[in-house]
Amino acid sequence: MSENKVILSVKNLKTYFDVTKGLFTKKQIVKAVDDVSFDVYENETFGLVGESGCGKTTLGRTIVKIYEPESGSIEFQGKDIAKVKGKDLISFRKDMQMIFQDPYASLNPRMTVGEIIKEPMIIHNIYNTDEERERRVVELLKIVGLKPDHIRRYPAEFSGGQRQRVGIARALAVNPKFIVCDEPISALDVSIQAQVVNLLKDIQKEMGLSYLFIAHDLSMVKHISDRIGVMYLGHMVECGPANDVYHRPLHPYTTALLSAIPIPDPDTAKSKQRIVLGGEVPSPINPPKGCPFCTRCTKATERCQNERPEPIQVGTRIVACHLYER
Amino acid sequence: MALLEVNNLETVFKTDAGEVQAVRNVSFKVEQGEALGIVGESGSGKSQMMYSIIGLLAENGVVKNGQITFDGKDISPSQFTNKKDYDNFMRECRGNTMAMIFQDPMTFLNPVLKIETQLVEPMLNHTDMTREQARERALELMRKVGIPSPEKRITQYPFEFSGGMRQRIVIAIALANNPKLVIADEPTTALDVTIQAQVLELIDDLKNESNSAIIMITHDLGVVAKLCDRIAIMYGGKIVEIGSDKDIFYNPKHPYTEGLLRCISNPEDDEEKTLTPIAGSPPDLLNPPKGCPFVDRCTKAMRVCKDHVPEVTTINEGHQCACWLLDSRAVRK
Ligand SMILES: Nc1ncnc2c1ncn2[C@@H]1O[C@H](COP(=O)(O)OP(=O)(O)OP(=O)(O)O)[C@@H](O)[C@H]1O
Ligand SMILES: Nc1ncnc2c1ncn2[C@@H]1O[C@H](COP(=O)(O)OP(=O)(O)O)[C@@H](O)[C@H]1O
Ligand code: SF4
Ligand code: SF4
Ligand SMILES: [Mg+2]
Ligand SMILES: [Mg+2]
Repeated sequence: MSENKVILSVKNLKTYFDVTKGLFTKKQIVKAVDDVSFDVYENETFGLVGESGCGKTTLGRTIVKIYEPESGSIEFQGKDIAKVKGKDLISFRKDMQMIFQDPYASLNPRMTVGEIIKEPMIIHNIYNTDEERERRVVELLKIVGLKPDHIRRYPAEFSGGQRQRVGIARALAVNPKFIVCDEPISALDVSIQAQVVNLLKDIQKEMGLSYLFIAHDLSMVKHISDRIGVMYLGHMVECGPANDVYHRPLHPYTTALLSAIPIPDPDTAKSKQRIVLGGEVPSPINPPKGCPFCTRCTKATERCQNERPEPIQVGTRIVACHLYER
Repeated sequence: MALLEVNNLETVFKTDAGEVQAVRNVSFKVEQGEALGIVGESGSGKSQMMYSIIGLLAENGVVKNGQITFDGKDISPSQFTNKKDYDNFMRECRGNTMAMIFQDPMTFLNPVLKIETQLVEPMLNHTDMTREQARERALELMRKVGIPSPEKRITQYPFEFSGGMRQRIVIAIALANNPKLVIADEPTTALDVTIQAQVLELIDDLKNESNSAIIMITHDLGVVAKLCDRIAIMYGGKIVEIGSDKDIFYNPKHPYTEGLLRCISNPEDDEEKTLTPIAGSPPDLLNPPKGCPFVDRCTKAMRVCKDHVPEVTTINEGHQCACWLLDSRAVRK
C-alpha cells in the first residue's frame, strides 16, 4: 500500500444549520460539524464513529458537496472543492461517490437495476455506446456478486443486501477514487453485513479506492478501517490508527464508547466491568461552552467547563482533551 | 416445572399470495429467573413466535398448532372457547404476570397521556393498591430505572423524554406488577451505544434482583452474550439450535450458528479476523424449503437435507440442534 499520499484533506470544517422557527425568535444554529480536521490517504479506509446526531452524515455530505460548509476547507486530490468549476467539477462528481444507509430508499423503484447502474455512466459520458455501457453493467454486477440476468429486474425484487450491492455497483460505475459510505451495512442482517464489508474490501484492493466509512457499529468499523475518527457533538475528539484507538483509547469519550460495545463472547461480556456513561448527549443547539464532553466526563475539571480543548498530536493520535496538554 | 413451555408451535399468516409460515413447529422452555436470548435474521420468526405466545398476533395471523403452558396453565389459543375469551385472558396476563418491551417505546406509550397515568393505571387495574400507593411505587420504579427528578418527570408527556428515557419508562411499566416473565423485542436496537449500555446494565441489574424470567429477542450476539443464560438460534421459522451461552458460542453445532459466529468480529481481538459471510439469503416463508430451512446456504448440505426435516439431536442436557450432520448415519470426515 502506498500509504502516504493524501487524497482528501479536511481543515477546520464547519457545517451549520439554521433551525430558527419563528420570525421573532432568537436565531438558533445547529453546529452539526464544528471545526473538524483530518486527512484520508490513498487506498485507505477512514472510519468515522460516534452516536447518532454527532455529525457523521453531515460531514460526509459536506465532503461530497451536498451541503455547503460554513467555513474551513476540503481539498480533494490537491484541489479546493469549494472552488472547483466546469470540467473540474464534473470530474469531481465522478471521482467522489456516495453509498447510502437505506438500500430501500436510495434506489429509484421505477428503474431496472441495469438502468440504475447505467445512469451515472450516461451523465458522465463514460462510454460511447449503449453496448459498451451494458457490457460494463454486467461486469459490475459480477463484481458485486449479482447475476447478469438481474439487469432487467426492479429493486423491489431484491433483498436488502442485494439492493446495497446495486448501490455499490452504481457508485463503482464511474470508476471513482473515493467513496463516502454512510452506514452502508446498518440496515442489513449480520450474515449479510459480512458479505458487503468483504465486498468493499475486495473492491478496494482491486481498484485502489479510498473510503470514508461511517457507521455506529463499532466492531465493524474497526474491522474495515485503517484509521478511525471519533466524533462527539460536531467535534472530532480523537483520531488515529484503528488498532491504537481501540486498544489504547486516549480521549475519555472514546474510552467510554468502546467500553459500551457488547462483546460477542459470553465469558468476557459477563465479567467485563463497563464504564457506563451517565446522562445523554447535550443538544447541539446549546452545546457546552468548554469541552463538548464535559457534561458527561468523569475526569472533567473546572477548566473543561470553560475552555475548549484544541486537537493536539499525541504519538500516532490526535486528541482534543485537556488531560493531554503539557 | 418450567415457567413457560412451548411445544410444536406453528403460526401462519393468511395473505393474498398464500400462507406465510412464520413459525414452524417450535418447542422450547424457559425456567423461572432464566434469561433466554432469541437470535436470528430479519424475518426468521422471532417476533411472531413471541406474539403467538402473548396473544398479540395481527388479524391475519393464526396459531395453527401447538401447546403453550405458562405458570402451570395451558394458555394455547385453542384452549379457549372463543377469541374474545382468549383476548380478555391474555390482556389480563400482559399487564400482570407477563410484560413486554418493544423496540420502539412509542408503540407502547400513549403520546397523549402523562407518564403518571401510564405507570399508575396498570397497577390500579391489577392490584388492590390505592392511588397514593401506586404513585409511590411509580416514583420508586422511575428512580430504579434511572430517571432523574422523578417527581417532576412523572407529570410530563412521552414527547418530553429522549429515546433512552422512554425505553426506561417502558421498562418501569413492565416491572410495575413484578411480572414472572418479561419479553423484550430488540429493546436497545434503536438506541445509541452508550445509551444501549445503560439500558442493558439496567436489565441485567433487574434480572439479578428479581426472579423474573426474561426472553430477549435480538440480532446482536453481543447483547445475548452479555445478558442471556441460554440462547435459541432461529432460522426460517424454526429454532435450529438451543443451548447455554457457552454451548452456542464455544461449541456451536448447527452450520448456521457456526456461520453466524464467523460473520462477526470481536473488537477486543488483536489480529484481524477474516469474516466469512454466509452466501445467499434467508428463505421466503411463503414457500420455505421442505427439509432443512438452511439447505440453500449450507456448505455441508447432504442429499437428505433438501426433502427431510432434520431431527433434533441432544448434544448434552439443554443443548439441542436440528441438523442431519448429527445423525448417526451421516458420514463424518
Ligand atoms: N401480518 C403479517 N402478514 C403476513 N406475514 C407476516 C405478518 N407479520 C409477519 N409476517 C411474516 O412472518 C415472518 C416472521 O416475521 P417476524 O416479525 O417474526 O420476524 P423477526 O424474526 O421478528 O424479524 P426482525 O428481526 O426483522 O424483527 C416474516 O416472513 C414476515 O414477513
Ligand atoms: N438538514 C438539516 N437541517 C437541520 N439540522 C440538521 C440537518 N441535518 C442534520 N441536522 C442536525 O445536525 C446534527 C448532526 O446530524 P447528522 O450529521 O445527521 O448526524 P449523524 O449522521 O452523526 O447521526 C443533528 O443535530 C441533526 O439533527
Ligand atoms: S477536556 Fe476535560 S471534559 Fe473534555 S474530555 Fe478531557 S477531561 Fe473530559
Ligand atoms: S440439515 Fe443439512 S442443510 Fe441443514 S444445516 Fe444440517 S447439513 Fe446443513
Ligand atoms: Mg447519519
Ligand atoms: Mg421482530
